[in-house]
Amino acid sequence: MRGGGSVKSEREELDELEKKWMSRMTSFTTPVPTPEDTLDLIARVKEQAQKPEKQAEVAPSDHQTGGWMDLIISQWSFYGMRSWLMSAGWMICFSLMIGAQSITIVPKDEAGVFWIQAVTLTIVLSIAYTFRPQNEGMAMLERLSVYSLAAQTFVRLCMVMGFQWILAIPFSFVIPGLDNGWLFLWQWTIPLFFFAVITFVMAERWGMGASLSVSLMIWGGQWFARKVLPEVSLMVQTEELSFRPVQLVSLVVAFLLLGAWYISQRRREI
Amino acid sequence: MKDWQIHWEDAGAVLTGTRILHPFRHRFSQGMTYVVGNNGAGKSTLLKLLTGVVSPFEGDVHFTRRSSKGGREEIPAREVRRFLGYVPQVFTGYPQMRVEQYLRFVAIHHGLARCIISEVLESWFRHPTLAALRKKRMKGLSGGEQRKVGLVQALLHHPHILILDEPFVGLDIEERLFFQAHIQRIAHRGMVIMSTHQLEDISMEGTLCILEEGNLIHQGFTKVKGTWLEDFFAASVK
Amino acid sequence: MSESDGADRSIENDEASMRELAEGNHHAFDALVFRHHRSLFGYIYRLVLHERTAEDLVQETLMRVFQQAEEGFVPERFKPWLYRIATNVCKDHWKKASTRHERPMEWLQEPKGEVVTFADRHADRQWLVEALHTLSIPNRMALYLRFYQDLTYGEIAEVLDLPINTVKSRVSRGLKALENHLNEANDEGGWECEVRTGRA
Repeated sequence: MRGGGSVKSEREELDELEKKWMSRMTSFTTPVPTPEDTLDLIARVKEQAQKPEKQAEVAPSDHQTGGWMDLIISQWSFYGMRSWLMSAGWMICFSLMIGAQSITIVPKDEAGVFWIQAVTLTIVLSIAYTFRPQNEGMAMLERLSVYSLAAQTFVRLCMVMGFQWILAIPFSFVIPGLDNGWLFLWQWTIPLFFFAVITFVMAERWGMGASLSVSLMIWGGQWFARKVLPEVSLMVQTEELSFRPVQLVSLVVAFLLLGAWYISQRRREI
Repeated sequence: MKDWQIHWEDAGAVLTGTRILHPFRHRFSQGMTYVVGNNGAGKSTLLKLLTGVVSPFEGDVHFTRRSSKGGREEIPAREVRRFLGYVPQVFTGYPQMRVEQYLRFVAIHHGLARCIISEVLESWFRHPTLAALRKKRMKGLSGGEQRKVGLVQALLHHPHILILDEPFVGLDIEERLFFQAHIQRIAHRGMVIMSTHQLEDISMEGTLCILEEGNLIHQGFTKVKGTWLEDFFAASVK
Repeated sequence: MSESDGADRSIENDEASMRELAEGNHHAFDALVFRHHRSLFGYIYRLVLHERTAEDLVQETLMRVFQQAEEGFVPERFKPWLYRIATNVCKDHWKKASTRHERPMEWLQEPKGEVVTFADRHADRQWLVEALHTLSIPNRMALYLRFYQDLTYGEIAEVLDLPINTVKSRVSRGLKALENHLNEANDEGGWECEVRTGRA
């Protein structure tokens, strides 16, 4: 009993002393490192720790883990939630309008082709908005990123294209008069990709004004070709003879353009 | 920091047939460098070339730093970017973004790790002059406010090399002092190159480069007050 | 006890960050340093009383953290482990200093004007620093960990590799010694006024 009592009193005594000294101790102030000192310290420690891998430190390998994720997040915020929502809303209105029209005005067997025209127009305009010209200062800052300009633009292109594509999928299944929804998916995905790529590559090469006019001309030409020279039109029905060759050719052209753009970017950045 | 140098070797610039900068040689070193000259003297073009993003018409601009072996090693412009901060003469940001969102975007592009970005931003937004801007959209910012965001985006990652094109236009004295303190800290350890046409911006001792019609007509040291520099400003720089 | 930089919030994160670092994500290290730099610097600075040296020792401590993580080591509890490393780094530093014929006490002589404190608190601070430095280093460490690093007695025991009761008795002994100093000072009439002002 005595022992227990003394332990308790020791603890009480310690508590009391602590309480008493708690505030007195605060006067022993120290210098406080700034956030910049902290950043500096981090850099120093990493550098020192990785001395044998000095070359690796200079190379951008540091950014390979999670780097792409960061880039995607940043590009998502670049486009801005409001723009994403607006573009989604627009797409929905467009599709509903065509869906409704398809039933009434457009002949039933042409509804699919009509819908492809609308989707490709949407992608041309979305790309034009996304890659609208920046002022020079901002363009300089974009190029000062740790990510190459090619990577930034490519991710931006993929995001816009991917977003429009995913958005269009549910609507592609509600277009009337189609037996095979999956084949239709394939039928419109390639023109969408084709128009996105040509608008993008031409904008990068000759500026958005020229690109938009040429893209719209090609788009209008398709409409015309459908009537006059159906063999070269992208807007073909799956059962037509020219379906596979035309799809294949446009896919190859799109990839070639994208490849050429990538190579010229690489050359410019070196 | 690593004792950076930018070697300007007979680099010149021509824009749509007009000569903007005549070739000259200069070595930009650690500490503060002021680039002074009239409008149209070629200051902005000089600074753009110093970022390594734009190639000169002729000649060469390259970066070196002290290597671990003791000599100097050349670092490709691509690798320098993560150590470099730049404020362009015209900075607008992206109109659709809010200030905080934009700075987060910039932080990612400076290569800051996602887990520290919030902490870094908090430390900036703690300052009253920036706290008020946090939620504003960039298209709604005044000229001075845009300038402040422009400065913060360049300082976020604590660059070794800082290039500033007329950074204090539109800022009041208090704001100027706030940013000057940050800039000075970088100049003590790294390299700051700043263009200006105002004498009061020259607050630190450092190197002075005077441009006139695309020529480097003087390079030397600033002696801050009461020297020929004041006369020079009075006479020529407007 | 407010220098722990939001310790409660980050306790679970520290171990997670350490695990990530051990798995090769170097960004996790940045988060750890941001959370602990200030308090770690405070601890080491109070022990060595020299800003430059403290900076170097903080760097050395974090180097060891980084290297241990690179070897795949993840401590069960990060904070006590961190301060254990810091304590060892300081001890190594003193050992080295003594082989160079310097005594740790020499660090006591703070260069004048290096620390900016408010004038009315300056006398307090000086009294406290001097009083603390009459204690043995182990007692001082226990006090600092308790009062400035906000560690529990269990955690301090882990840091110093001692039984809890020994830690408690060190803290208690240290505080009593400070108490005696204060009384002596009061008797001399010198510090009473300053020590009492600015408290309450």
